[in-house]
Amino acid sequence: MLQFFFFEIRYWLKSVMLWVFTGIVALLVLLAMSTDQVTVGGAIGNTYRNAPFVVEQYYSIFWFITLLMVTAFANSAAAREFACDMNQIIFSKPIRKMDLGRFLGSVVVSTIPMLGITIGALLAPLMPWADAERFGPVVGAAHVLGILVFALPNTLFIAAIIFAIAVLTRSTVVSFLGALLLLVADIVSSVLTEKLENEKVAAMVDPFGNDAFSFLTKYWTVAERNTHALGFSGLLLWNRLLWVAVGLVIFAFACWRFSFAERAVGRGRRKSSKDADETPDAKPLVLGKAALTYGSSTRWRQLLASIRIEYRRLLKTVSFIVITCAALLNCLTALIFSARQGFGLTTKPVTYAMLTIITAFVHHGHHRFALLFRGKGWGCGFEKLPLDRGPIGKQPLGIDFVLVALQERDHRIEPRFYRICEV
Amino acid sequence: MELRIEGLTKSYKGGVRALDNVSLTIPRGMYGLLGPNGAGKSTLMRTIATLQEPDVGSIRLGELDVLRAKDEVRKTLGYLPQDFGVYPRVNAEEMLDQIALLKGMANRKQRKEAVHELLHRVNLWDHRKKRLTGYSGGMRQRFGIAQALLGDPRLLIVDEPTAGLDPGERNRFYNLLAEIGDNVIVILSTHIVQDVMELCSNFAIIHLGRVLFAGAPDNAVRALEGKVWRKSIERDQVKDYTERMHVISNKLMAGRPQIHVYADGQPDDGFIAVDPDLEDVFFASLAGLN
Repeated sequence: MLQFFFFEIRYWLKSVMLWVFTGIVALLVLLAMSTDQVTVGGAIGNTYRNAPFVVEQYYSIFWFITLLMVTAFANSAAAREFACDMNQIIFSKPIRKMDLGRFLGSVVVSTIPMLGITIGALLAPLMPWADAERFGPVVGAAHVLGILVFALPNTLFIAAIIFAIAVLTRSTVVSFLGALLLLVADIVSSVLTEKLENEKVAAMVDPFGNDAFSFLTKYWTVAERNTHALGFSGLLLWNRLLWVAVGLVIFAFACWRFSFAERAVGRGRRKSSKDADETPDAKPLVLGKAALTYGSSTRWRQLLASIRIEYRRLLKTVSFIVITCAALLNCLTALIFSARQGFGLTTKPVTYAMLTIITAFVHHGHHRFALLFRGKGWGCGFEKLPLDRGPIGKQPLGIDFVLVALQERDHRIEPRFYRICEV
Repeated sequence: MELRIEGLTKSYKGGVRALDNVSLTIPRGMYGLLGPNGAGKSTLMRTIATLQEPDVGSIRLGELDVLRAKDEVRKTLGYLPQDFGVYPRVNAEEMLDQIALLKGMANRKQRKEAVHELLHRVNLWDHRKKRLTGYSGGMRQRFGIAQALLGDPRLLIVDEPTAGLDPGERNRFYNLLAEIGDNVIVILSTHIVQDVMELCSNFAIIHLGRVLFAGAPDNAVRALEGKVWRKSIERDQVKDYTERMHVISNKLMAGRPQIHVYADGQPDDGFIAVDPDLEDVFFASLAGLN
């Protein structure tokens, strides 16, 4: 078990992704603590920007940010054999169950990006624009407790869920959709639990301990916030025990269902393509019949053809499906809650309000997608095709047209983002 | 010890019958499975390698029931799949160590020794710290055979191991296989006749899921003696000859078609008797002639 644990950690420590994630979190926290432009969590009034209370609050909230990162790690731990096409080698070895070490390794690794909070918090007061008076002494206990009370248990809980999904479906798409569903479920439940009379029950129900943290620190004075670090106490302890246990049960279920057997997915198709090789083509090749032209009409056709192929390709991309589903899910919750509630009032769900929400959410999702795709769309081996080495001399612009069509409403910010991505 | 396969049948969804009542007895030494693409070789090998289930039939390795006692079989099995990937960011030594652990080598020192020995044996020692994703086709295939040899398997299955290797790499790979010795059952699938000729003491021809021939290459060749005739013809005559005679192969020799015909006596003027080789056996079998 230990070997698998350390293998998993070594495996990820070499990955650029892990450090980029950690860097992003660190940067976010650094900006949130040192500037007024970026805010995380609620207003803190006169509390020090790096107070133990703030640090722990960050640790209790940031699962929200690291969710997709945890998903990437846990999904990989569960389905790496398939993703890397190593299943045949591994599954012909005398093992039956996924090793616990790999899962725990991926949990520990997934927690690393959270350390960005500590990095950001330590660096924030050193920034030239930071207001020195708003920073107090570093309280080490807050960082340690933040990791132990929030980061590790929350990561374990999320990783167990994703792990179970990945084991059962062996699909990256479904894993990420599961993660997004978790996000949506959390928003929905927080709206629902707001109505609960009993705050203690509400605090227990939150799997990430943030509500319990708020409940316990609700009446803290500024002085307390600046000096105290909340440990495993009372409600928070029970909350943590409960949800770690739930996580472990989910993980145990995943292990139980984990199977090293192959499933006959796609075999049939592969077979038939092999059969096709058998019949040799008896027809003589017709060579040199098609004339080659490079005029402007050819360019138009090349453009149209590339729009068509890019459009089809894009609609089948994993990230497009995931983000669209996420946007729709998000939209659904927004339609249920935000259309009707605001400032303690309830309004009627009139058409214009509904439409605003729908367009906002779907476009927001597609905008994110456009960024993603523009940034890495050409990284999938496409550039190796003679397509863009042809006599036209430039990459066909089809993909840009498709993306612009997807998000024609976002003119204001879009060109700027494009420029960033193209760098 | 030998591997006995009896009445193995497997159909895929969509009606493709990959294996059709396959029965084979495979002794120690190198055994070739020869067949064109899509013949069912990989299905057969994957079934023997405990990776998929047949619809009907049984496989026994000595006393072991391969389809039931999968874990026992896996302990003595080495399998090199037709195509496989590797983890990114991991080097050969680390990966072999992991696989050895999965194989059941719990003792760290012994595992390290085994991994080092294999790395030397497949000539990857100098590249052991290099990432697997950066390996060439030949190096990757040698890594594949190294992982298959972990734990001294008694049954070694290699599925189309030489596909995509250049001639030099192929020879090195053959030498490696030949060194493994005669004490192990080695099943090698290929669509290249030469592979079988150079390596195997026994072989079987498989086509469309059926075994067309099983035995020693020498016997197969001997059975065709005096029955294979050769003639160089014009390109437009090929159709004519194909209709009139049992043409078993049609190859180009310096740009002109040279046909091999199966017949008991000289079929026509201009035909020369040839000493049959394994390729004639293969094509004659595929044409259903012997």
